[in-house]
Amino acid sequence: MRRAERGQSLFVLLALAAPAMTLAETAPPQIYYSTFPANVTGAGVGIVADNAGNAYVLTNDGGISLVSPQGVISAAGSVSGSPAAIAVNFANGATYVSWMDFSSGNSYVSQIGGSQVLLPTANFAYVSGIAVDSNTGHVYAVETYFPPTDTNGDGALLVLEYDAGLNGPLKSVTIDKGDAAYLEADGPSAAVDSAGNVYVAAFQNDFTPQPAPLRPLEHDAVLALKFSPHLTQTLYNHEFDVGLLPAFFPFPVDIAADPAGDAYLAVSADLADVSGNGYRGGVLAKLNPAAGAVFTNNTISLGGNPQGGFTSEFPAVAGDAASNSYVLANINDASGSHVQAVKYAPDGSIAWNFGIFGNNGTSGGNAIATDAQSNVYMVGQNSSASGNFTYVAKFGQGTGAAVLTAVSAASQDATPTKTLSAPLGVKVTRGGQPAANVNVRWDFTSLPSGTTGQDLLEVPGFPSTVVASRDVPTNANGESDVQVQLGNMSGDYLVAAQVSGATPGQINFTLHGKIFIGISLSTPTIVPLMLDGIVHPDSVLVASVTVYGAGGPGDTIVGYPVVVRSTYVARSGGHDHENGHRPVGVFTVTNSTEIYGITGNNGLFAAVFRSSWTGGVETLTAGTTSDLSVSSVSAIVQVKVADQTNAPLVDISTVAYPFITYSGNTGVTTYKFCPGTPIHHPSSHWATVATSTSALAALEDWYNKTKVVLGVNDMSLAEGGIFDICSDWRPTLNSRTEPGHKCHRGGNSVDIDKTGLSNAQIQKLTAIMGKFGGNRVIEGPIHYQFPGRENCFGAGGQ
Amino acid sequence: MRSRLFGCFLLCGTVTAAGAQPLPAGIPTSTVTVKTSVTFDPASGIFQYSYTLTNSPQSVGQIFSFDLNLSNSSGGAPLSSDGLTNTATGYSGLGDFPTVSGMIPVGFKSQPVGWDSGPTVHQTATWFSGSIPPGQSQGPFVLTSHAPPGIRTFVAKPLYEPSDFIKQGIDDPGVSYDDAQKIVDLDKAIQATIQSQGFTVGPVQPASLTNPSQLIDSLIAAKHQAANLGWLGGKDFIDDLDKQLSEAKQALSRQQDSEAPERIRKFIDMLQQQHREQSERHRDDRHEGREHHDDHERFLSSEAYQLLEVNAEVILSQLPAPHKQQRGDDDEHRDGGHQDDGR
Repeated sequence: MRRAERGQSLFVLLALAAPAMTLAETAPPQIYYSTFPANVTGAGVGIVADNAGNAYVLTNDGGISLVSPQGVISAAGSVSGSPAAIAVNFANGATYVSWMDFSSGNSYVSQIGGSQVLLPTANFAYVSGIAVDSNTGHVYAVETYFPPTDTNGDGALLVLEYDAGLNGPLKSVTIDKGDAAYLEADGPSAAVDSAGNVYVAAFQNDFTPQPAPLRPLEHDAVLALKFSPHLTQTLYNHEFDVGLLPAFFPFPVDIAADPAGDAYLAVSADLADVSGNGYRGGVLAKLNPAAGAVFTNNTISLGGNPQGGFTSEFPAVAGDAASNSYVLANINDASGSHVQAVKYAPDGSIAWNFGIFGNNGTSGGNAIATDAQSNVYMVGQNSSASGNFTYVAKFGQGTGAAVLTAVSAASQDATPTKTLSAPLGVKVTRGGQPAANVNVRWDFTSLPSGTTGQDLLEVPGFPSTVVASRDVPTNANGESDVQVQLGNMSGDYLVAAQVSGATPGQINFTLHGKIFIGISLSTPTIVPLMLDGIVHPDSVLVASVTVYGAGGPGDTIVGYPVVVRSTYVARSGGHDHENGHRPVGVFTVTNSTEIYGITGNNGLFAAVFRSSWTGGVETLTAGTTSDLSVSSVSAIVQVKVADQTNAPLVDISTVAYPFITYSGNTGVTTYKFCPGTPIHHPSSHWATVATSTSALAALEDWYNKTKVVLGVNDMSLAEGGIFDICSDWRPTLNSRTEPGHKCHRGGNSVDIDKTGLSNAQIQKLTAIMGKFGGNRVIEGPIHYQFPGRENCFGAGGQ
Repeated sequence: MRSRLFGCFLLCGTVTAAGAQPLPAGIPTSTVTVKTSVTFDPASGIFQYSYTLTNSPQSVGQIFSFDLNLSNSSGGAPLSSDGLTNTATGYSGLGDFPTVSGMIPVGFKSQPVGWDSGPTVHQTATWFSGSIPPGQSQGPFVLTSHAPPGIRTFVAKPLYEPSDFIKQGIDDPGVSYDDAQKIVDLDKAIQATIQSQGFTVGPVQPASLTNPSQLIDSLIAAKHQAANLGWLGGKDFIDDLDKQLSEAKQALSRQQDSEAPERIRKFIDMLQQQHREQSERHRDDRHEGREHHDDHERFLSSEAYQLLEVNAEVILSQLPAPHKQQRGDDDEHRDGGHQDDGR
């Protein structure tokens, strides 16, 4: 709503400036700022906005411009006379303009794109305010009216009601105080609240006759009127003083109303500057439904320099559904003219206030309006080097339904227990414009099973508190961001951003909590469990499982559940069963082939692994217990006997020596099929390099002395481990009653076939074996034990 | 340089191990004495060690093998193998593997017929495959070495077949780990019981072969060891021997070239005198041994005489020339004296 332009200066628009004081609210963001085309030369007279975010600007050249929600200006029509006011039906966007043809003295109300009505003319009348009841579509117009009965020209107010098609008047009310008072309504001096009550403001100048020769006592005041819907009843007719008294032309320039029935009047009145001198300033008065003053504010409180006769004003006022009021303030001081937009809270305190174009000394505002979303529209004038121009600007949350869009990727990978590298974000717009201070509710809507420790962090570094949801209002750009810290499980985390009433009301983000697993072994090689019927100290290793994120092994994840399992590689050692089965090592804590654990503070889970009785290759595989999508990792364990140089066992039966023969299993691929026992073993003539070399040297020495060829029987199996060919093999960790070749597990044993040998020959052979380090052990055949890992009851040893 | 030979003969005492658990009846226990003769050839620097083994008439088993410890873990002067040959019939070495390190280089010169010999990976010289019945002796088992005499351990084992006394093997059906350990332990106990082991004189690694001061130190140490083993007795006698060696070393430190040889010479004279007197007293073939003497009686065993006298002669050979020239006439006299049986 806006009064008629009153010859303000033109201004140059530049930039926004921050308010100088601490205020209750942050000034709304600018949605658009648009300048009119050069051919639009008129200054702004009024501005209205519909619920779709369209704004209509009336300029004093009669032009009517449509401003799209994006701030694009286009011509919407024109009137041929002098425009007075513009009003809109919020329900359907029907827009009306009141104007006067001075050449004929007629006043009109025209609907943009619609019909037009000639207002009553009488002797003289000029239209000012216009308002629309969005509930009924009826249009109310206010004329300053000089009926034929008016003999002294003191005027009256004529309030008229038309239907949406401007048929009527359906009703009219005349306010005439007779010869005692002069009434004049000017500009947008009418308003309608959401209940259909009609408000009118006017200037009243009355005279109280005094005894001659005294002059009549003059009293200038503001007259505020309120009518019930359809003008059926005058609710108040309130005359009140504004500014210095006696007042001099306190001229109402705009009026607005809110749904609560409050009225807001912007008045140009005389105020006192700091020196006590009068100057022209603006006053905002809020009247409650009973016409009582709620507050009055003036331009002095908005800064500027109320000194030296400069003129300031509130050129326009608007209200909103929350009983806030908005004014434009043109502050003139020694540095020039500056326009401010000011929001007053219901109690009259300043909610926000900002100089729209900075303090460049040339800016000015003409009209202000709000829409249903409390967006603020304003039109004014400014100047540039090329001349004056009209601008229109919009501040606030945009118009229409909130639209929620995702700023972040809807689906992305993340690391459990870690904060996302970039926050999740959504943007709220209305009418395509950012909507600030819109509450966005962020929620974890779904978590992987067993997850703990998830968090929504409003800002990076915000003290971590495990929360399931957080409210983060949109910023000036309409964006709401939240940092997300995943819990301790991998899998999909669903985070939803919700805005009540928005379209869509919720946006889901899927965060794929990914982990990687690594496994390392304290040693890749261990010896079979029981070389000597006891747990050999070299038969254990530590398997270390690390869980880490996308940042690599250093990006460790604490508290992640893992499982490690051991399996054998079939036919990878000297002991195989026909179906490929063979014993496999176990984890000492569980005494089983699998162990479950949780990574510690260093992202590590470690478990002691103990070999089985058999030699060969085993695999330790680490995986997760909760997320099947995570790839497991494996490490190879060589369970084998080696000599001091870590050289593997060798099979001497692959070489034919003239001084020995081989008994039992020979050759790399030879398997023994024990009757009734499907157990296969390749050659049984494996030994460490040292043992095989020593034994062969001894046997050759023997042969050189005796020329007797000896038969070499069992030694060890490939890789060592339990040697149980054809035995009833039931190895258990705690049993010490197992049969089988007890001392043929470490590659340090050689059995010699003693068939045909005398005791003296055996003694001689024993002496020769002893030369090379072999000690005889009483077995079935002649058993010689050489030094090595296999202690053999004290006969061998290191 | 004229070759000179020093030598003597001795009988070494024996110790028979006792088993720690009940042992089977009839195991071939044995008691062995070792008689050692050491000679030194200054020209080649080679010592010759000859051993004669006597199986006691009280023994049950026939001696099958004899091992002499030759380990060298003390470092010291490198010892040459020059001139050391393995001419004994039945000798066999270890070949290229395993390499025996830390063993005194020796040559297996000769041994009785029917015996085999050679080094072992345990740094011993071994003779085996022989048979010395109870009450009989066999020898000599002859080694050569550049190492001077020192105190060595020996082990003599009788012919022994464990299966004759231990009826189960460790892998026999029903034999548990505990049973197997008992079998092995019993076998060890039997072997420890039936074998003979003790101390004798054999080649040892010297600190030096040419430094008189270090040689004297080694001789002092050998004298102490011999005394501790009971090979040497009589406080006055031992003190007198110590005095000679101490003054010899002091003379060396004072560079009194004539004094040191005189003291070593005196040391040798004292040994020889005691040895002669003792031999005369025991001409009736009594066994020598500490148990025959109290702490105050002057006593010198054959092992001690062999050990100390030969090493003292080596020291004399390394002392300055004037004294060596002075010793020349005496050497001729002494060589003649050593060519008798020395008893």
